[in-house]
Amino acid sequence: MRHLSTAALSTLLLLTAAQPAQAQTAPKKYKIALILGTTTDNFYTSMQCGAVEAARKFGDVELTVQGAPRWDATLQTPVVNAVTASGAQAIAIAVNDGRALFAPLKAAHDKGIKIIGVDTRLADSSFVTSNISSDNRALGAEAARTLAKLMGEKGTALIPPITPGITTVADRIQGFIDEMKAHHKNIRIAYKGVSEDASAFSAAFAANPDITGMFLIANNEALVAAGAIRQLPAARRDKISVVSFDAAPALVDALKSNQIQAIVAQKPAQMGALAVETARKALMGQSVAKSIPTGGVGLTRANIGLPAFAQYVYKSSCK
Amino acid sequence: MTTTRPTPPAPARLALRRVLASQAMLTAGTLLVVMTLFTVLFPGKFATLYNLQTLMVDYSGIVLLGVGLTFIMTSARFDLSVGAVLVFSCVLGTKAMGALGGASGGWGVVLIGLAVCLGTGLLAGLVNGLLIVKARVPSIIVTLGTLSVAQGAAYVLTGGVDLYAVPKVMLDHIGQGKLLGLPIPIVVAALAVAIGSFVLSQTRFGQYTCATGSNAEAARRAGINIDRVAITLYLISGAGAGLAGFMSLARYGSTTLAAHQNDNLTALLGVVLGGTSLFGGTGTVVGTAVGVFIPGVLSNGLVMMQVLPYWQYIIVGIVLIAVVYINLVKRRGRTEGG
Repeated sequence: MRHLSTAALSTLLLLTAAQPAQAQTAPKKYKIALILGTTTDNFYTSMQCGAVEAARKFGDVELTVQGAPRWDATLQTPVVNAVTASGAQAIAIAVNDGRALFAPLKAAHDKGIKIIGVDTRLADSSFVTSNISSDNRALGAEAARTLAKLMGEKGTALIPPITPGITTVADRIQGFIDEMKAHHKNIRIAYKGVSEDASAFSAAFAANPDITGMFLIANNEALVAAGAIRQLPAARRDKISVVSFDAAPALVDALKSNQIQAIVAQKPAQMGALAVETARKALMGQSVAKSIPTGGVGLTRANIGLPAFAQYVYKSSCK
Repeated sequence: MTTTRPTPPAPARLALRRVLASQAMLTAGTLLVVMTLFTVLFPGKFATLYNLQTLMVDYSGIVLLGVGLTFIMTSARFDLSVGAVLVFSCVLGTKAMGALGGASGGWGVVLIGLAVCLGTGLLAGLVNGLLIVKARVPSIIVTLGTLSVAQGAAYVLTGGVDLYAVPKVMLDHIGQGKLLGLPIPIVVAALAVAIGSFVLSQTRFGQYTCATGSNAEAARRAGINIDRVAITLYLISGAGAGLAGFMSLARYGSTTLAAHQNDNLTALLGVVLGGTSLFGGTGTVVGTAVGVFIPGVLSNGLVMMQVLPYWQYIIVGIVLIAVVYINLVKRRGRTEGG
């Protein structure tokens, strides 16, 4: 008998589904949606700020910013589908998985929506209008060169454990390892593991008393590692050089207090602004470059006070 | 074969009243209210074929997990491992298909992939069941353990890097495929709900499941082999996870190592919203299928409202507590009224 209610429900579902889509009034604004990698990372907050700022400047862009709170392709997919259904004309997205997001984005594209990759990209981006991103391998290699110099071209470098399945981070690490192996042969790479556990850092320090360098691969990992470094005895802590990725405010504080010696900052705000600009151009029918690289900036204690460098510190809110 | 099922002397009027008062109905009503609201708020956007279809496809995997969990929870047990088993079966399935041709593989390869995914799920179910029955470790602990093992094994086997060796035919014709105009993931989920619902409500095994859930000792004394029932239940749950893994591969073409972390809880939420008692004894598969869509529809509508998804957690939490509370009040009222 309970099935009765379900039958009634499914009938209603079908009825609502059959209702024809209403004709849209001619849009005066370009409806652009930005879908962040996660909504909980300062990197993407900065991207959002850059995009919002750009949309405000243009005046004719209706920007919506969406995302899931965790890096999870199965959480991002329903967001893409809902944004697609809500009538966006262009979607700029940092995909959580280069292949898993292919089908929903292809479906959006087939509905006439322009797709733009930001930060990360699809493995098959043949239908994507443009890709805006850092060259993560190149930045990883840059981090290796910086760290090697700080370590005096010798010693043991630690790579922290990472959350599995994130291609941009994997690229960074690959770029770092390739550069070390090719040009800095006296530096041993101590640990490359897969874990989300903060205590893994402390264990790695305990197991490798000769660590004098660390490469921290992203905001969250770096914050955890910074905590682990702080717990070390001062004599040992002072011998460790740290190069970190991403300029979250907390990490910049660590840089200023010399817990971190260098930061490779990406340009997320520029990525966000470029995403809006590129989407708008594409919607106006202008041609856009298929690939738009955004570079990195090396931040140190010496230059962080200068406005030219300080502008690259990530934002925790847009104000 | 003697049927032991008691035939309730319920007149049609009473039965109808029971349906109206049931939690499945309450859940369906809640879902309808929310859907009507979004249909009015977003004319031509929410209630479109595209949106409702993608919504159902997005939650079809959760429904598959929910069917198995309904059985488990009706028997007053838990299974926390299904999300991790899903990912683990994705990994083994991809490994097998990769070894046999990967992206260029044909239907034979896909079938083997299906067998491996289902086999992985069944194996995990068997391990869960045996540990719970033979070692008498509580189900919540056993499945917490297998969750960790399955997740770790998935990382070990892949080195933490997603695998993508999924045949193109599988992506095109199962993940994106349609049957009679309906997306295959919806068809698979609907079939699982139909079969699960039939087994739980119409078969002797279903009765045994309810009986062990409401009073395991009484069921044992009545001659039910409750150990065998328990193992079968975990096999069902494992098979659901394996099938969900296969469908995830077909949709995403990736082992999605970092994903599916919420699936277990989302499915559990759907089961509870759908009217299955947390203390066992009663449960409906159809209720679960309806319950799963409440968080789904809410988050879909909140995206359309341009609200960041944090609110979804708060709203889903409030709805969960409210629906279960109302149901409890009703049940209390019924018991007091005789």
